Amino acid sequence: MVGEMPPKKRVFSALMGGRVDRIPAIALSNFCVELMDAAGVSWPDCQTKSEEMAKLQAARYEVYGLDSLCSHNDLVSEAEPLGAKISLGKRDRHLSVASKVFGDKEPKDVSMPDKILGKGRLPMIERVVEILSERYGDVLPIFRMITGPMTVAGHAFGIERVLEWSKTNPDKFQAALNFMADLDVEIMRESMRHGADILYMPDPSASGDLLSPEAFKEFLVPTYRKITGKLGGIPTFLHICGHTGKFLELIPETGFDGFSFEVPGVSVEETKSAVGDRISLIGSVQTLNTLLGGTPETVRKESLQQMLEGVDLLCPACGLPNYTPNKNVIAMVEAAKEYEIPTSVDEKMEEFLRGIAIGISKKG
Amino acid sequence: MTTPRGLGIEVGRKFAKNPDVLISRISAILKETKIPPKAKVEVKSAEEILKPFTPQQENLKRIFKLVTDGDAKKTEELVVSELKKGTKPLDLIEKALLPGALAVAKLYDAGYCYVPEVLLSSGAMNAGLKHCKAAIGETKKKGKIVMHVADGDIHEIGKNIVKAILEAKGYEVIDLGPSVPPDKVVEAVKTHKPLAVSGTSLMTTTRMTFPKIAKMLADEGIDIPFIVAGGAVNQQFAEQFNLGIYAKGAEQGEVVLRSVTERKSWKDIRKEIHSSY
Repeated sequence: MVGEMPPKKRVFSALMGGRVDRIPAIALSNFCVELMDAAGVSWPDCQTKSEEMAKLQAARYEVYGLDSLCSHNDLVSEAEPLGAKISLGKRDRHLSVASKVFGDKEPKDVSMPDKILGKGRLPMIERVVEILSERYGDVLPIFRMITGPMTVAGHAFGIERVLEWSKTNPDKFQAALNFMADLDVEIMRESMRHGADILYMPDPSASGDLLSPEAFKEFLVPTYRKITGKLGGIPTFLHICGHTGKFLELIPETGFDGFSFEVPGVSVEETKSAVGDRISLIGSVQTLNTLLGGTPETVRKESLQQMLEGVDLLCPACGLPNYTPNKNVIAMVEAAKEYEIPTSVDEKMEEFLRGIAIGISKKG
Repeated sequence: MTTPRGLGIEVGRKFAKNPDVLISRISAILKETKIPPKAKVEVKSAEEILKPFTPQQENLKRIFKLVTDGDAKKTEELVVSELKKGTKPLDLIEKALLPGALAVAKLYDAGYCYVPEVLLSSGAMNAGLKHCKAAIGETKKKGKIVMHVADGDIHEIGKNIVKAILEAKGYEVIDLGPSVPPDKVVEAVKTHKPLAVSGTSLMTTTRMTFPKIAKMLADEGIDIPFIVAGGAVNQQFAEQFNLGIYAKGAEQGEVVLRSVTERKSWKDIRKEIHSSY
């Protein structure tokens, strides 16, 4: 034990691979109707007005008891200022991109719009970061969620075209990624000025279901390095959904400090054995079977098992489903408090042996 | 934190001092842990997968190869020149173009390639297909299918690939596009009277519209198969509601359509297809 840590210190340390008093509990998105009710916010205000958005985001701590806050939860705020039309969704449905931005244009034909940081939802989100930072910034880390370059490139140029370029036209593919990487860096630098502490980058289209490991290595890894290398050393983490098994060896090379992976696309054991201690692991309580469909007790059991198997930050496997009961997320937080990180040699030995037993049992 | 940082030296020393005690502790833990049986996995090489699709005739084989390579430009050129030479357009479709795209879909299922390759081969097939279709002229379609992507889901790559294959097979596809509300699907089924309707979903949060659509269809007295497909659904999910049949890919989709023309009920078709997985 290193004494009771403030959540901000706990999350920073866990992400950077340092000492912690307990494993922190965080979440990716919190677009949940029960949470909206508990936070006393209404839709669509909680997606369109900074003050209401900040209330919903603060509920991550106030209602769930999580160790972190986050700027917002959508995957469209980067494509919108480039010109995408977005659909606001519903009370129980996320915002989505309704039209791709650049039509049939190619990367060489497009340029970054002037004063892009003042466009679309970006100023509103920065205001949320400011509010959260003012009210909670001393104790809680503020994540800035920024959609990754592969996903935004898909929104902008059309995902089918971008995927084809990955095979037929590497220059176009890399140019599209570079364009989005520059945008992502610009957004994050601005957000750091408003009080954001940590970059959380979901890039669902960079999934192992869509891209080959070769393409991931050749194009995505350098693109991610470009982003993570330009942010003055702040902690960063990446989330990719689905089957990422074949990418795992490459993930620590991206320069991110943490990787959020999705069970059941990959298992904790598979992920841990591929990345070792080269990157902090974030995850991966199953969203549908456990957090949405399970009970507080099944959430607790899965959480404890995953911490034993090697996650460094406990977190849902992906965005929380809209109808996730609050009590299940709270059970995840309670499990993080319950789990004791071994400190004495004997405790470490016991855990080490348990690790061997788990390994053998899963190998069958 | 299975292997806590800095564990090595401390634990190593302890282990060296008293290995027997530690080995007996691990056997005790192992006794408590259930060991699942190992699943048998049949592994086929890429060549083995391609073989049954590959045509015998040299000229067709060349086109097949170009489709599997995803080369739309050369596929188109060669198809045009074959048509001029008098090769039957139907042979080009059924023995070279379609098997090429289907073979790549199989390679994808087996993990030998990824979505870009599937998109490119489907593009190559279409490049050849348009010339063959023009050469054949208007023919009688085998039947209709209404296809859509679940409400709230904008991922339509899978649907587009299957659409291309079903069209190549001679079916008429009514494509409702991505993110379609349930009532639009039901309306389209009532208007077009298809052999079957399909819904695809990649995001698990969106799949719950499928049982809803199935119920709305049943309420209208419609009992055609409702094919569900995509990363968010599986066989168990499809069995949770009437009309639901899970299709892994275009192959099963076509079996469903063909079975309907043979007047089989959705229950029998589901049984047949689900037992093949």
